[in-house]
Amino acid sequence: MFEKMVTSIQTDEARHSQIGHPVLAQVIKHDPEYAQYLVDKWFWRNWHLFSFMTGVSMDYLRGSERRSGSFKEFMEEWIIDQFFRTIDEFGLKKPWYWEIFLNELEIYHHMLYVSAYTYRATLWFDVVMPTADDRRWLREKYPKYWEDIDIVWERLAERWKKSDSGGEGEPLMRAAALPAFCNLCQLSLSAGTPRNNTANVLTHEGTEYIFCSQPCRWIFLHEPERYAGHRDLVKRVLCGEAPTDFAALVTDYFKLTPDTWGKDAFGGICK
Amino acid sequence: MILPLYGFVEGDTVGVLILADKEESVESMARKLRDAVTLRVDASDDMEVVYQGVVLDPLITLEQALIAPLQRLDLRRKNGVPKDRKG
Repeated sequence: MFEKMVTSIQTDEARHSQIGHPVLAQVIKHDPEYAQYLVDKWFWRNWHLFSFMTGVSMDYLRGSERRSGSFKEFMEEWIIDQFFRTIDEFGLKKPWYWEIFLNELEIYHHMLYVSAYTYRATLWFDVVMPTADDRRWLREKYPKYWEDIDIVWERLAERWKKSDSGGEGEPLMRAAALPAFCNLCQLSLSAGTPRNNTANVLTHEGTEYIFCSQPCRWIFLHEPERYAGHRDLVKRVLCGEAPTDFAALVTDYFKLTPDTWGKDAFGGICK
Repeated sequence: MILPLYGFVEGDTVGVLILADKEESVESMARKLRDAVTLRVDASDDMEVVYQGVVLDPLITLEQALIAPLQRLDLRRKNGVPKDRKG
């Protein structure tokens, strides 16, 4: 069963990858400006999801004994090089936000993960704190901003040491204020750096929106009719559909229970 | 009257939603914001609230500071941002 499923996924994805180039060639033939927009838009949107799903998995959720390289190194070798070859082949330009992307490559998934760690009761899987060895490795791989992230992990480690042992310490170790989300990518407002979060507010046709980054704002402004109507968690809370109290939100609205919500898999690795 | 705001604390990794009251002081809102992020950040007392690039007087109310709903407020370490905003 599992083999068949993997084979099916593989052939499906192979088809997708084969469709991409001919479709892009056709769009460029008829409207090169639109083709550039689509590439810029979807690279960014995929980047944010990929950074959370794959970046976190590669740098935090696999054991150190299984690590061969960092997520950033993987991106540089397998994604960026190939992306450049493709856009060169089609006569397209690098996305205008390239410097922002390169900066995010250093820190974005770290910002997301440490935030998600403190909101783990909203997740459906367990998470882990990086060990001292993990943190040394991450400092080596991500020297540009690691200190700003490490100070948060250090604070969390100290809190674990002071908390009760095992699972009883969990409630004290979770954030209780409602996190806010980008109205475009729907991920938490965790772009930029801890010293300079890049979230920005926009008033569009009398309604307030917030974006984690300039590229997310730019995508929204290109197609506001596509995104403006989405009711994110904050809007649901403000219109009274979801509770303002974080604990009630998790249990009554998300219907998560202590049995099903995410926990630290080891009850705080630093204990 | 409830005033929802997006709060960002220097050193933190995520923005949070703060439900303030228009009549409450900037100082009181800052306390709420500090408490909201205390798990991740040690937001010590020598911080100030910055709105649209200007430091707010901690004693005025959010209404006096002319803060609209769903705007961004920052709690930042004191660093010489001009202190000339009354409201």
